[in-house]
Amino acid sequence: MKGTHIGEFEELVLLTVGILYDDAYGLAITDEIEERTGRSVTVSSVHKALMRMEQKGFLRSHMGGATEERGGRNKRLFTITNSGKEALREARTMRNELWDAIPKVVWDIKMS
Amino acid sequence: MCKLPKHQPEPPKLATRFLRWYCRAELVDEVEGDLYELFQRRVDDQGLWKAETLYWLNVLMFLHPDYIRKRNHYPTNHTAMLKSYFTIAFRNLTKRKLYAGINILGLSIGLTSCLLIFLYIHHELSYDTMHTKADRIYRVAMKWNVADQQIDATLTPPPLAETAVEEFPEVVNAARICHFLSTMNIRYGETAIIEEQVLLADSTFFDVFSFPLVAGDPATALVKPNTAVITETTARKYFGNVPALGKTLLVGDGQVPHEVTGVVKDLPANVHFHFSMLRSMASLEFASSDDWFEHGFITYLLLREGASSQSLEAKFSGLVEKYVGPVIPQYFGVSLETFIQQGNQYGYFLQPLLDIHLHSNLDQELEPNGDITYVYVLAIIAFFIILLACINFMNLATARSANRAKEVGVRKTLGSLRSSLVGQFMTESVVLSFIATCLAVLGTNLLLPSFGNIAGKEISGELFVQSWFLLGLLGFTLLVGILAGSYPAFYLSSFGPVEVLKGKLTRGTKSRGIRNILVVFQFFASITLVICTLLVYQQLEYAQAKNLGLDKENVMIMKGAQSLSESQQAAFKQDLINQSQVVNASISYDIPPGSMARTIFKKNTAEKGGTLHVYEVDYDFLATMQIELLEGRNFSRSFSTDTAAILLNESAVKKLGPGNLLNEEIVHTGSGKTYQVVGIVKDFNYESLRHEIQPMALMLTNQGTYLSARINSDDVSATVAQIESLWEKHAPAQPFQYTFMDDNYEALFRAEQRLGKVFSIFTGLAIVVACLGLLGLATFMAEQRTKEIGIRKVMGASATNIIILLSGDFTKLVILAFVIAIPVAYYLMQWWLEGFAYRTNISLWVFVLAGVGALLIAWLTVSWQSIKAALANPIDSLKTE
Repeated sequence: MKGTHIGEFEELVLLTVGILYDDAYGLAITDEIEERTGRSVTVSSVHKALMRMEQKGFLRSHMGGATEERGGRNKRLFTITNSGKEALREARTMRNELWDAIPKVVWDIKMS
Repeated sequence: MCKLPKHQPEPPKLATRFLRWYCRAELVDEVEGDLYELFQRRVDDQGLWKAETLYWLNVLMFLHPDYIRKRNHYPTNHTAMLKSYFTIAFRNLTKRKLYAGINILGLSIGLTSCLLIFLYIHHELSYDTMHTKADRIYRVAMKWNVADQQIDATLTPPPLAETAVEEFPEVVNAARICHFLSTMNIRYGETAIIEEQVLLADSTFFDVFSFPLVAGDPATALVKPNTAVITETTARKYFGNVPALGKTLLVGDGQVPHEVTGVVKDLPANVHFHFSMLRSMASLEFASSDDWFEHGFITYLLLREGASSQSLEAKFSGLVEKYVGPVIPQYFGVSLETFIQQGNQYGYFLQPLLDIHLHSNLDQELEPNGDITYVYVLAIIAFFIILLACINFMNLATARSANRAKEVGVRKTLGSLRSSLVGQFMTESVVLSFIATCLAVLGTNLLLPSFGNIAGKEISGELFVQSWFLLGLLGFTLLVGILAGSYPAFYLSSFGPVEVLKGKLTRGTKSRGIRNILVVFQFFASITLVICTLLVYQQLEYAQAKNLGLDKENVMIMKGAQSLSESQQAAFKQDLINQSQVVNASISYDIPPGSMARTIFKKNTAEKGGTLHVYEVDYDFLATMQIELLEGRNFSRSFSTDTAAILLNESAVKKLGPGNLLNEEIVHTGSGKTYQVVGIVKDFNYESLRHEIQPMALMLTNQGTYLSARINSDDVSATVAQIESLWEKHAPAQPFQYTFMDDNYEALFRAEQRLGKVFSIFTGLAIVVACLGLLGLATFMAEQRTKEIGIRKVMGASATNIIILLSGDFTKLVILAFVIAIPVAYYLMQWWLEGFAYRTNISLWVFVLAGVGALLIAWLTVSWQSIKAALANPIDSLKTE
C-alpha cells in the first residue's frame, strides 16, 4: 500500500496526464486542472508533483518538440506508467471501499 | 534553441538569467518553456507589466531544493565561510562582554529613540490620510487685513460653499462645518451630559470626507433639520447596546429634539478635527444666510480629479468682487475699490487638507494643530542620536583594534584575503546591530504607551506588523551595521601583517586623532541638546510665571450660565458673592484666556479704525480678575449711560490713538453705534505669550455664558462642593462644569510643555549613549595603560594622581566640545525664542550648568575605570610578561 500511495493533488495531476494523453506537459496540465476543477494552481507546484511522481515511477517522460510559442524551448511530455495506473486504481478502490463503508443511516438522516 | 522572432515581447531577462543560474541543467529547458508560454499568454490577457511581475513570481516559486543545481565543483564554500564568520563573531562578542554590552546597549538605545521618533513623525504625517479623496479636498481660508490688523482665519461666509460649486467647474462638491458653541448639553431620558465637539455639518459632509457609517445612510443622514450623526462612543453613552438609529436626543439648552440618523465609526486620532456629534446644518438658520460678511463656516471643497488648486485660487478675487464687493460699504462706508486703496485686503485662499495638521495655524482652527518645525527638530534629534550610537561603535572598534591587530596579522600571513577580513569585521558589526535592533523593537513596544502619553498622542505600534516597515527596519539594521562597521573593517584590514607581527604598530594610538574628534562631536551634540532643553524649560517657566496683568490663581470658572435668565444669573451671582469663601464673582460672555469676537472701532474723528478684540463683561469683571484700572473708572451702576460705555486696554489706546482716548467717543464701524471710553485698563494677557497683547475693548453686559468666582479658601474642594450645591439650586437642569483659570492658562502651553518633556527624554538618552561610549573608551585606555600605571605607582604616584592622569584626556575633550556647543546652542535657541512675543533672556547659568553637568557626567563615567586602575595592585600588572 505504502509504495503506491498518492496524495490528492498528485492524483489530480496523474489523472490529468491521463486525460491529455499525448500532449501532457507542465503548462498544459496546469491549464487542464484549472479548467476542470476551477481551482487555481501554479505551474511550479504541478512541476514539482510531476517530478515527484516520475521519481516514484508513476510517470515516464520524454522530451517533445519545440514550438514557436515557447520561444523554441522543449517540452517534457509525460505518460502514465503501469504502476501509475495501478496507483490510480488503488486510490479509486480505496475510495469506493470507504464510500461503501458509510452506514446507510447517515444518508437517510441527511435526506430527511 | 532557435532564434526568436523579434516582435514578440520577451520575459524579463534578469529573471530568465536567474532561473538559468540556479535551475538544474536538465530541467531548465522545460521550465523556461512553460513559463515563456505562460508569459506570452499573460501579455495578451493582462498586459506586459503584470505579465513580467508574474513571471518573476513564477521564477521565484521554482526555487525549490529539487530544482536547484548542486554546485560542488569548486573547493571554496561560501556557506561554510559565512558560518565561520558568525562563529568567530560570536566568540569575539562573548569573549569581550563589556565591549559587546556597551555597543549593543548604545545602539539599542539609539535605535529605540529613532523608532519612537519615527512612529511619532509617521503619526504626524498621517493626518487626514484616511479620507479616500484626501488629495482633492481643500479648505478655504480667509485672509484679511483691515486697519493694519492681519487676520488669517478658517472662517468663511455661509454662501461661499454653494457659490463655489455653482460657479467653478473645478469644484465637484463642498461641505461646511460650523464649530461655534460646540459644547452642548445633551439629554436622553435620565442621561444628561455636556458634550464637547458638537459640530454642525452640511448634508454633503460624507461625500467629501470618508468617515464610515456603521448605521444610517451617509447620503441622507444630514439632510433634514434637527437630525444628527453621532459616533459609536456617543451612542453607547446614551443608549448602551440599544441601536441608536431613530432615537431622539434633546440638544442644547432649548432641548431641541434631534433624531439620530446615523452612527459613525469612532474617529481615529489622526484627523484634524474630531466630533462626538454632527448636527445637520439645516438645523441652523444662519446656515442659509447669504450674507457675505458674516464669517462663521469652515468650508471644504472637493476638487475634480486633476483640477489645479492654483487656478481655482486665482478665481477667488473675482468672487470677492462679485459678492463681497456690494457688502463692503455696509461695514466700512466705502466701496471695495476704495477699501483696497486704503491699504486693506480681503480674500480667500486654499489649504490642501493633508497640509492642515502640520502647516496651518490660523485663527479659529477646529483643534490645535501640530507644527512641522517640531517634526523636523525631532527628526534631527533622532538622526543625531543614531549618529552618536554609530560613533560609539566605530570608536570602540578602532580602540579595540590594537588587540585585534595580531589576529589580522596572523590571518593575513595564513593567506586570508583582505575581502574576507572585511567580511569578518562587517559580520561582527552586523550581528551586533541585529541584536540591538531586536532589543530596540522590544523596547519601543514597551515604551510606546508612555511615550504617547508624554507626547499627548495616541501612537499605535501597528506599523510593526507591516512587512514594508519590517523590511525597512531590516535594511536599516544592515545599513547601520555596515556603516558602523565600515571604518574599523577597512582600517583593521589595512594593517600590514609584517609590521603588526613585529609589534611595530603603536597600539591604537594611530587612530587616536579620529577617536578624539568623534568624542568631541558626541559631547558637542549632547551638550547642545542639554542647553536647548534647559532653555525650553526656562522659557516655559518664564511664560507661566510672567505677570499676566491679571491674577489667574484661585479663579473658578463655570460654563453653561446661558441656560439661566438674566434675573436667575443675577440671583446666582449674588448667592455666590454671599459665600464667605468667595471674594468676588462676575458674569461674562468671554473669559481669559481666549478671545473669539473681534470687531472694528474708530475714533469719532478718525478716517481709519482698528480691529479690537471684544470682551462682554459685567460690573465686577475687573475686580474678579484683578485687572488693574490705569485711568478713568470702571463700569458703574450709578451711571445709567454705561450701556454705551466702553473700557479699552493700553494697546487699544495705542491702536486707535494718537492721544489719550479717555472720555472720548469711539464708533463701532459695523453698526455705527457710539461708545464713550470711560476707563483704560492695564494690558493683560488673554492669549498665548507667543503673541503680543492685542488691542481689546471691554463692553458691558448683564448676562453671559460664564460665571466666574474668585475664591479665597484653604479647602478648595469644600468650596467647590459648596458652589456645586448652589449650582444645583439655581440651575438644576444644567450639569455642573467648572475649570480653574490657571489650568486654562497652562493649557496654552501644553504643546510646548510636551515638547519640553520629549526633548528632555531624548536629550537624556543622547547623554547616556555618549557616556556609554566614554565608558568603553575609558576601559580601553585604562587597560592599555595598565603597565604604565603600575610603574607610576611603584615609583610613588598616588591614586589621586592616577585618576587625574586618566581623566585629564577626557576633560580636555569635553571642554572643547563645550566651547563649540555654546555658539551653536545660542544661535538655535535665539531662533526658537524669536517665535515668542514675550521671552526669557538666554542666561549664562544655563550654559554653565550644561557644561559643568557634562563634565561631571563624563568624570563619573570615567572614574569607575580610573579608580579601578589606580587602586589595582601594581604587582598584578607588572608580573606578567
